Amino acid sequence: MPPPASDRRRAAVLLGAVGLVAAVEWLAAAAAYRPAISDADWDAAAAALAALPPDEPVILADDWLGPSARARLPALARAVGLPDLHGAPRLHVLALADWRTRAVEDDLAGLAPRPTGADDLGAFTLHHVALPGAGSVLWDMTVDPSLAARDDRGPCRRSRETWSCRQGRAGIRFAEVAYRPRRCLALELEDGATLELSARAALGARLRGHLGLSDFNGRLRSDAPVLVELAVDGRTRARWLLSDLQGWAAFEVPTSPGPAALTVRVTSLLAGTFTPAGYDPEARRVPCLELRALAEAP
Amino acid sequence: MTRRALVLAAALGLAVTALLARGHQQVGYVRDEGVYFHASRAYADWAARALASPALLLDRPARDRAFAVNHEHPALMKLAGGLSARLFSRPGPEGQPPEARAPAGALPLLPEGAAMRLPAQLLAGLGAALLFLAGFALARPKGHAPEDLSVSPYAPALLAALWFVGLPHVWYHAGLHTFDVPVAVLTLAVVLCYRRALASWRWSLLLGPLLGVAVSVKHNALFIPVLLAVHYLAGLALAGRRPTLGQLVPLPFLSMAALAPLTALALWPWLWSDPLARLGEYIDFHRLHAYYNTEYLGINYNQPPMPWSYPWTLTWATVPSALLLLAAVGLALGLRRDLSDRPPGDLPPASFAAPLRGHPPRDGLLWALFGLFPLALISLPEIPIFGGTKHWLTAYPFLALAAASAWLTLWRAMKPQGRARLLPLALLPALLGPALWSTAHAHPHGLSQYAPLAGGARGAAELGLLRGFWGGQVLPVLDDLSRTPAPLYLHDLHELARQQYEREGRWPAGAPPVPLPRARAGLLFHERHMLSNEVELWNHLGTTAPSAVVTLGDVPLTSLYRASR
Repeated sequence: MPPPASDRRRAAVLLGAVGLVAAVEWLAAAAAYRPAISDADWDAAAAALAALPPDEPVILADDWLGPSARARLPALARAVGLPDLHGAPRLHVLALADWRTRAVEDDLAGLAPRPTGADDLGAFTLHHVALPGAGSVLWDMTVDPSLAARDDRGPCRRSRETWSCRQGRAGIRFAEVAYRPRRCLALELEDGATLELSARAALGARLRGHLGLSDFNGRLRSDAPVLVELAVDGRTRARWLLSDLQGWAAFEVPTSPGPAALTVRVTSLLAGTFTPAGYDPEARRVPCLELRALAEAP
Repeated sequence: MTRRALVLAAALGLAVTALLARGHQQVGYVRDEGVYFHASRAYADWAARALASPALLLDRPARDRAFAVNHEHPALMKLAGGLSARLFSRPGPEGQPPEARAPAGALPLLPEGAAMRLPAQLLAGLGAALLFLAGFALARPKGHAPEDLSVSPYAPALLAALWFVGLPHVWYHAGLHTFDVPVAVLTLAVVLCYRRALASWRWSLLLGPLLGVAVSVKHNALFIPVLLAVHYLAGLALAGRRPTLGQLVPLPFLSMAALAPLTALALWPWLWSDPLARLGEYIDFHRLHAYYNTEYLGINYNQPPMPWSYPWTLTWATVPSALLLLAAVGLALGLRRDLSDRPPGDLPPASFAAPLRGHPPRDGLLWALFGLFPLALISLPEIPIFGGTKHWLTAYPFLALAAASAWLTLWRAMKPQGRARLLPLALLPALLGPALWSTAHAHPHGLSQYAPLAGGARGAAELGLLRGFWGGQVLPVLDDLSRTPAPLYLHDLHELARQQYEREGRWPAGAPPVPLPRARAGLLFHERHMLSNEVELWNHLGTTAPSAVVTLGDVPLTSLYRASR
């Protein structure tokens, strides 16, 4: 007996739906399973990046492509670990598609970008962006050769980018904070110890900094917070209590332009972590700090 | 079942095994394999000595010494792998100390690691063959004259087999010396045996030992009798008659209750001493398993609650949607049929040995239970999700059968005539093409592959889905390391996996494994939470630029960094 017409219709519709999805998948496979970036694309990007002014940062919009991009495009190294995009009035973003990815938005940190042009480089597009209000960097703690440090028991000994103290050590390096690399001053101190940093700095309209805790496991547990105190010319201007869950936490204070004595005190209340078995002082969480003096936009 | 179908099933199974045995020599050893290789050698050494001197079987210290290694998993696959190496391993390079060199097997055909992978690959071939036969039987049920010849039985047969083994993640896992595809195949074998056992005492007697073998592969199999019980009780309930005493204490379940534990115990010598305490320890290990890190939609998870959507999204993202749609149609049609089917009036009397003889098989319910339960289980917020798709591969053979059933049912409803009868078979390449393309494109990095509609590996990277988790995607950078060797930080490459390369002469000379502070080069396997390790490499080696990057579809999987100073 032949199947009822309604059964045939239903079967035809279902087979048609399966066939349609399969057809779409063939097209999608053709796009997904071919390399999107050729050697020529990389070469074009390398040439375009090499022609950019060296003092203007160029960043990669697509975070996941980072290792390949850093291997092929040396110019990207300049911007690896940037704290954010404040202080960069002009910016260049290399992107496969949309340049305003989540990582870029995070680093814009409230700035309103103004696109000024874009170069088609094959698979990539190089976007040129102005950042009104970003200001410029007058002083950066992570590159100041005169930055001095002391802990509760006395001055620390500096050797290039590291400080050896009686209660621990500190050093300028890369740290993973909130799954992003940041270049900052990493502090490995005893529980409750305070590191005091001091420098003469040319101030602009504001001091802007960040503090984050490395590594990710600590953040997931949210252990003890870190206290940051900022003083200008001996007067305490601000105090922040920052926790794991805040990730790469920004802080900012307005300043009067001109030279000033800066003091930053960082106290890691407990550097270890809490486990179901109790407090474990050996599982270290490392606070990482950066601070810059920014002028207003020209 | 025709002789031709049996021959084709065997040929398909052998072809799958041969392709895996050959192709997976390009697949790097994953972390767990390193441990299993080590355990396999210890188990096989004990087995060989026990064969020569059977008194060793009763020597508890010797037995415990051998089987203490990796006793959180049953021994069967590791024992099989070790014995396979004793048969088929090629000798390692001359000049290395004997303990760091693969010994020659009786028939030295394969590198030692490849030889240890062979039993799992044979089981994958068996899985393809079983699915082919089960798919064939959908069109030509045993004992029934073919009712409808409008659709070739080879269409559902091929579809069922390739739906499963043609998926990139299944193919990847099928070739490894691990347990995930083996336990999926044995789950299928147990379920197919159970179908027969409902009407045959012979199959019932086989069912218990077969379940014991499945349990001896991996703990997933412990859920099988529970799901079978649900199916059986549903079958009784849907029959609409008062069950007999024999139906309430049926032979298939007695067989499972009595013979499966004995078989599992016999196949796991670690349990021969102090079995209850060791069994408790085994169950506790898995019940309280650590939560490793894994990325899902851009978020790193390493503690509960885990997202309930994880297995469903990952299944969509790794299995082509047309195949999933067909499986869903098959489950819906099967369940509808099962809920409406009633046993015929002239049923033979139910017996203890054949409790549901003559009843409808209720395959739809069986596929739904076994096809959905593993995903539902992983959806629970307390269940760790670190293993990606491998933890619910046991579902896929049943989704494959549901899809094959849908293909058959829909085409039969179409009543194709003349040349149109060839369409169900002829259109299979169009249906299976995206999956096979995905698998071929990903090789040897199938663990990192994603389905076309997810955008492949690139689309998954944009979505924030994990790229890998096992430290195995390393072979391409070994060439680079061979040209300029340096003391190497291994990152997520397990030292025992590295030693396996060394035993086979594949590890670059002059690249000893060292801790990061002494490294002049370093590996980095990219995962979201591994950025912590990557920045440590940058700090120590003085560069943020890798010297070599292993990619799939432009997506970096593994980087090799070298010291710049």
